[in-house]
Amino acid sequence: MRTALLLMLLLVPEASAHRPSTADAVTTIDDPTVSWVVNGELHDGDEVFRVKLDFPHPFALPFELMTEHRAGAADFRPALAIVGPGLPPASDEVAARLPLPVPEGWGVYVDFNEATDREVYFEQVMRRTMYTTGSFAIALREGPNEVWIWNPDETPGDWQLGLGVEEDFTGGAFSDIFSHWGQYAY
Amino acid sequence: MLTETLLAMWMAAAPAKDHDPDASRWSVGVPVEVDLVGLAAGAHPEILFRPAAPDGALTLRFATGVMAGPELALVPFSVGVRGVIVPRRIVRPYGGLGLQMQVFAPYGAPARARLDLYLELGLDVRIVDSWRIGMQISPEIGLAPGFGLGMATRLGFQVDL
Amino acid sequence: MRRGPRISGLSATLALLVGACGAPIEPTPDCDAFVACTTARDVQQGITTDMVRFQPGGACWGNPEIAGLCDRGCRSGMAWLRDAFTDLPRECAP
Repeated sequence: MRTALLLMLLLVPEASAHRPSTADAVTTIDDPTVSWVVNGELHDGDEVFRVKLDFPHPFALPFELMTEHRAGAADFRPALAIVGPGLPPASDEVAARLPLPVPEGWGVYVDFNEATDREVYFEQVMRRTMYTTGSFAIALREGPNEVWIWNPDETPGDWQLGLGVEEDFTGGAFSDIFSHWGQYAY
Repeated sequence: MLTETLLAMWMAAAPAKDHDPDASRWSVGVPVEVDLVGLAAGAHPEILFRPAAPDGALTLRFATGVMAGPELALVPFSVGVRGVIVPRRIVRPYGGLGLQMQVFAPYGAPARARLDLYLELGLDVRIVDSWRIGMQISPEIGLAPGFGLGMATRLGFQVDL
Repeated sequence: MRRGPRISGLSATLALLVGACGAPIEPTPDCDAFVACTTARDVQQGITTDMVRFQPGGACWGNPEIAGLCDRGCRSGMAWLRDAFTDLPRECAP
């Protein structure tokens, strides 16, 4: 058995996965320059999740917001906003639809998740089939930035925020999956 | 703990009949499988071949099947080796490992293939002459094109051909 | 629906075998355009954005799955830049 485990470890190639994390209402990502998947659950539907990212230097990376691809969750469409310096200011119309005021001097990228046809993504680590907003790359400035996730329809559901591509699984990266199994696995 | 449990079961198990020169090298197993990572269930039949001796410990395993769940269907193709600890006993623990090509068919997204290393730990019990029932757990780890997890649980029967 | 490279069962198997052999994946034209545009904006703004992952040999090009994610991301990112900003340098033109 030990030989088999050693063999398994030796054979594991470069992974293609995000480092998992489970979101609280305000969640700080320790190192936003490596890839993460942040799992969250809207219990009541009217919560706003704030994911705080503090970049050591200007940094460009891909993001996507995913939800479960199953009949009961088909109408669950949480919105996503990236707010930070260097992004374009929110128009009055957009600002009125945001759940929080945009800090002075910051701008916003927003996806209200209203596309008629949504991409479906297969996440092979936990074998989940997910709706996704689609990946989008964005350049963010040095220092604090935030991602807001909320559901304008105020209905509950699970979401996953994927960001970045540089993998780092040191320090028990997958322990979060086992302690929050219900949120990661079907 | 596991080793002690298996050893105790080995000691408790009555020996099977004496060596049978006519025993077959081939067996077929038909387990029902439930996949606990990416929930799915189905049948995962396997062909077993004992190259060294009909009642030998070394077994080659070839398996395929179809599982379906709420988010995806999957078709695995497996090749591996299995070591039966006490092949002539009524109760036989075993372990094995091998490679498994998983073809995932997620609903609404293109099919994907993943090469896994699988391990298996199981136990079977002879119920009548050449028939056995057994249970098994099989953790899987994705090797290519990327990392992934899997855990299959199986319950089924096996018959010598 | 899904934009960019699709991976069917057969091509995924081939990609898997190729990927297992460590064949390099080249940056896509959309990511080249995203990097060129962001670099030009950086000059305008006097900053240097870390875009290593999108460049040759970067983390985006380690396997077909991540390459697809980055490619789609660059395409969407470029479309958004063109919509969101009116003062883009000429490197950002379609």
